[in-house]
Amino acid sequence: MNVSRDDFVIAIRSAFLKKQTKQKFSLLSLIILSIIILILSSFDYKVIKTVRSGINEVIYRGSFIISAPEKIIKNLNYEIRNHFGLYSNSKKLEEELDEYRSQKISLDILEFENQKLRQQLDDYLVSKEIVFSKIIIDNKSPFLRSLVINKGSRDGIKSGMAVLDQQYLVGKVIEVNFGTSRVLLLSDINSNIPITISPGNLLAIASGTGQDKAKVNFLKKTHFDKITNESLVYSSGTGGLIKSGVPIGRINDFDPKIDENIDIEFFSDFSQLQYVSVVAFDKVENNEFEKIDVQPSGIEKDILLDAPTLRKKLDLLLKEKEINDQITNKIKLENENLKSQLSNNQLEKINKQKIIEEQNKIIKSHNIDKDELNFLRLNLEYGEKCRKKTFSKKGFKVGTPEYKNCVLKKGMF
Amino acid sequence: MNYFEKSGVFKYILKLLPLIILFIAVLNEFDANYFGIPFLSFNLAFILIFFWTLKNIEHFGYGFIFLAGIINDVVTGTPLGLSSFLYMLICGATAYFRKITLRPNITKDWLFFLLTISCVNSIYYIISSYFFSVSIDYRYLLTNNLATFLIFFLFYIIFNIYYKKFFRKSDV
Repeated sequence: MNVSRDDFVIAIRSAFLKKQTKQKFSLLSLIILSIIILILSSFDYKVIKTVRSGINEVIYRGSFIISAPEKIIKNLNYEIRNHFGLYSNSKKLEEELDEYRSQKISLDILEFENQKLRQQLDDYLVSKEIVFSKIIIDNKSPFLRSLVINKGSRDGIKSGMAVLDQQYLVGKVIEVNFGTSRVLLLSDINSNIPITISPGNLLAIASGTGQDKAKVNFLKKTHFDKITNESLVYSSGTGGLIKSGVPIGRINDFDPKIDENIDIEFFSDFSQLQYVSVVAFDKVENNEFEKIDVQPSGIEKDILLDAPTLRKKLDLLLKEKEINDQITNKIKLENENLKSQLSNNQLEKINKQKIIEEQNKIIKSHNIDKDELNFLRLNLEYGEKCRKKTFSKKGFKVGTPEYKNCVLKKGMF
Repeated sequence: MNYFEKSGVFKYILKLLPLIILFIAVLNEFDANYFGIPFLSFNLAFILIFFWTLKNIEHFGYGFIFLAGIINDVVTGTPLGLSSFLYMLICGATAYFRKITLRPNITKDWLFFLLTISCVNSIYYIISSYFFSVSIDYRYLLTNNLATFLIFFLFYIIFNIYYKKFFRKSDV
């Protein structure tokens, strides 16, 4: 027993303490060095941060070059898969685009209204600065979902800034170097973002799962029946880092009766990200709103016109006016059409009335002729009885209406 | 080609190839997830370090492995020094295993590899979770551990052929 323990100790000592032949460093010294680095990196000293930042810069660039062939293969694979479904995708997208175009204008107006209301509540965050950046390293490790972008502190990037793919939230900045930064994706297990689920305005937290989706946390089960597969997920704005209403994803494959977990499918495909925008949100100053109400003059007017809020307001008002003009033109055109239709109808009616009148006249004259003929026929037969005779007082003078009536009466009996 | 063969540059590059692959693997953070198979992800760096330090070749020094660990930490965003520490532990384990093994064979190496990476991944999980508050899904870590263990057999055969073809006793 003692012998085997001795062997073990000797083997361990030999493995860790002795410098191996043709090895420049002993294992123990390197282990101690790595522990020292590990401890130092956990401290937030400026010197360590600078050294770490320098190492990061060099390695990120190296990794970007080394990853280039892999990225080409990855993109090629994606392109081939995309190519096969191109036609059907294009058709579908065209239809969607048409729908979205029609929704866009009304959404702008709604957004403007929403902004106005939020401004009144003094809770509106606007994007203070936007930095567009390229992704240089895209790690799809199952343990850590993060990106490295080619913008750092020299470009104004700060830790905690939101990262967007077009309008969709994809993550936030967690590490800033001089020329590069690391972005923690929403799918990472360490990511927790306050969200709102709409409709229903349910507040919750979206936590990453390490896969291409997130799950909803801190939501009572009593609210589950308000959630459908069509429910949309937005940032809630709680905490003030990210403004509210930034779209994140939609609820996927959820049945409130069966499922315990609610999964969020992201709008953005994180595996296909090439460029992202890094945004810092800030509260709108109260002074800016006050300026809107005050009637400015001269130079102040020009300065105010440059204010982004006013410009946006003007843009939206112009758009609204454009829509109104379009509607008015449409109505005018419709009215003219109706008028022309009406006049045509009236003319037609008058013409037809004339025709009817003429036809009535003909019918009338035809009836008169018929009566006359009847009278003449009866006159031949009963004229003698109704005519006034020289020596009698009875009878009527020929040609008088009384004579005609008498003839007709006699004819009736 | 002849010039390179004669001058020994080509042979030297071939001997450096395991180290070059290690650096590419850590810079690239090699992962087999591109195929979209959910649990097919293995740690190539662990396989490379275990095999080549077990063979104790001259061109696969501890200093380079330490540097590769630092690079891996920067690329993956894990606490700086953590991967170096883990890689050094693997090196220590292989050095110990080399000392106690008289007649090495693939089964022993393979099982000892499982033991080593299981311990190393456990240490990784403990340090990340308890000292740096970085959450890691242990299920992924387990599946990664298993996939790395299973695929080691294949790499062992390939590397062994390569080792026999290009390395001599003097390199060890």
